Amino acid sequence: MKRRLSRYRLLLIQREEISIAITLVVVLLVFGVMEPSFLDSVNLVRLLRQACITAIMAIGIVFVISANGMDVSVGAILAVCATLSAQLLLSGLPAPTAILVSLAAGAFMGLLNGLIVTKLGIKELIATLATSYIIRGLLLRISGAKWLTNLPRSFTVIGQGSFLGIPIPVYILLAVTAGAYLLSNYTALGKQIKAVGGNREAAILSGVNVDRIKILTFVICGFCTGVAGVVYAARMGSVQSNTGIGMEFEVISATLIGGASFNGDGSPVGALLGALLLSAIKNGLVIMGISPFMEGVVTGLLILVALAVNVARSRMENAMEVQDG
Amino acid sequence: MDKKTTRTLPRECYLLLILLLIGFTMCLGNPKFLTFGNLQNIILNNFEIGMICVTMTFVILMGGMDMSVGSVVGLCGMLVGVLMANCGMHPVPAILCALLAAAAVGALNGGMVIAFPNSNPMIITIGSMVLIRAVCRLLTEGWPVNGFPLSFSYLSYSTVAGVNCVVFCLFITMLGGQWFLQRTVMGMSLYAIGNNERGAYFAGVRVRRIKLIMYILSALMAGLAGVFLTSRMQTGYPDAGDNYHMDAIAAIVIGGTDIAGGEGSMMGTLLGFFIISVLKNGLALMGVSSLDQMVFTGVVLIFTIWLNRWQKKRHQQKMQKTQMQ
Repeated sequence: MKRRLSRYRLLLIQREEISIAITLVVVLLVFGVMEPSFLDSVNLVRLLRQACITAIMAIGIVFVISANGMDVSVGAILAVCATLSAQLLLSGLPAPTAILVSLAAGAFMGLLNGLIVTKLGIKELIATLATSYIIRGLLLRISGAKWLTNLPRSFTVIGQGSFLGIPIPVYILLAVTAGAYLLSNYTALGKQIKAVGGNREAAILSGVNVDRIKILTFVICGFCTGVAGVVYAARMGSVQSNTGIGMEFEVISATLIGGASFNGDGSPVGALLGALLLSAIKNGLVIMGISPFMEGVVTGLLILVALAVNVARSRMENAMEVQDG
Repeated sequence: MDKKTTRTLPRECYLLLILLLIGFTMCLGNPKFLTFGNLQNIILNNFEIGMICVTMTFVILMGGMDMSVGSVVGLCGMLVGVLMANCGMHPVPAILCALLAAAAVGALNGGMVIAFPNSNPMIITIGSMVLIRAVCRLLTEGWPVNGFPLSFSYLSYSTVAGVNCVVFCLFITMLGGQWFLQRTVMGMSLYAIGNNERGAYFAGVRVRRIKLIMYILSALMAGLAGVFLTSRMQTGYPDAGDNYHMDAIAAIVIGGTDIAGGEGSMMGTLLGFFIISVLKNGLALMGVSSLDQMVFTGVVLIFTIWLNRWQKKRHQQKMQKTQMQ
């Protein structure tokens, strides 16, 4: 009995995702008991649909944060990719081309962020703040601050359609999660990103090209944001110029709740669960008729709790290592 | 060491040059720029950010980060408004209550930074940023508050010798900050903590106490800025100060302060603050749209910070050369 218990404890300590998953289940059950309509399949599908965009962006930014970086330009990149795809579709291009161009644009803006951070040596927070100003300013100039509506049905199906009763964005989210999971756990790049975040000097000394890794994290983040932008445009069926303002902190919150920290920690699955948790809380509060502003209170507390749990976990890990040794 | 070869212009000279250049361009663009009224307006419109910059410089110098200042501005602005308008309080106790709340937030931030020494202070303060903003919106369910006693507006509309008191207030605070950094033990120890926290600790610097004090000071200053903002607007907005932390960080980094701590000066912060404020004001006077203003600001941000780094590198190279000789 004692041995089994300690094994569970070990599992809890090693896999940060499990504690978030438990929290998510508890939150779902609590809302479900208090308001049975919360656990309706209709509502759960709606909840998933709402969570998709934040979750896809959170999975992208988790790589940047793991590598000790920061990206506050994701809101602006989302706006550009959504606007670009809508603009291209309205100018008569077929949907696949428009989507590919938008994804490329997202990755390109990530590349730009990465180059400014590494080659000009400007810290991530400030560099991405500056690029978000520039991107938004240029975006409004290009789109003329117009609403882009009447997107073709062949495109909006990506955001609004369902396959086997599950919304298509959820499939996209699963694909992105799977890709990010593989990248993070089964490739050299994934390990190198964690190495750069965990101990930069050690990473340099073991031959990791830190600049290249940093640039790549920004490109991954930009690409995921591009995917989110396309899904956003398709889901809304229209794009307005103030898309995604303030979105960056929602995404960063989800990532932090998912257990990411600036020390090489963080996993795509954790970010996904964090985003799901946030959107479950948002949805549940609305259904129960509680002030939507409570959501921020809960989010803030969750970030701080996730942080405390992380600290406690690393202490327990250290204690166990001491015991084993 | 030979004096001639080590001589490089201090960083502040470059910043002053940039500031004068921007100012000169603005004069050419619109002769109204160089009137007393406009120059005063530049300070009046950005006064709150300037005040926050001072204490934010302290926090960043010791390797910390306070993302929650924008939310504290909102919280205290709302709190002072609600206490006066809804509870009929006299302005003085209302202001004191608001500042007390700010100090509590600062103590929370500082306490958590001390309690979780291995966590990035950015995460901690992002948590309290989200939390405090939500509390601030909950106060009035998102509605603005107004209807204050007349005496409250004296705070930001009284003049001495034709100059608004607020202008003196900002300069005195900045000078005080400069004095604190250069002439007091605690100010000097901020540099020590930012450069090498462990080293500072072993040299007898009370690291934890100083951290706590600085976070409280930062929140207090943000609270004061919130009170001034509400007084100037004659209305308390729940979204007030939404982006102040970013504006302050941008001004500080333009001023040559290392965002990782340990290096920087109040003079630089002052100049960085004026570069951003003058740019904003001048571009608006020249009739540049707010979209293009954003692009300009972003470009100036990147350029100035790059120039700072370039200048630093050159200075280091010169030092090396003289050492070799």
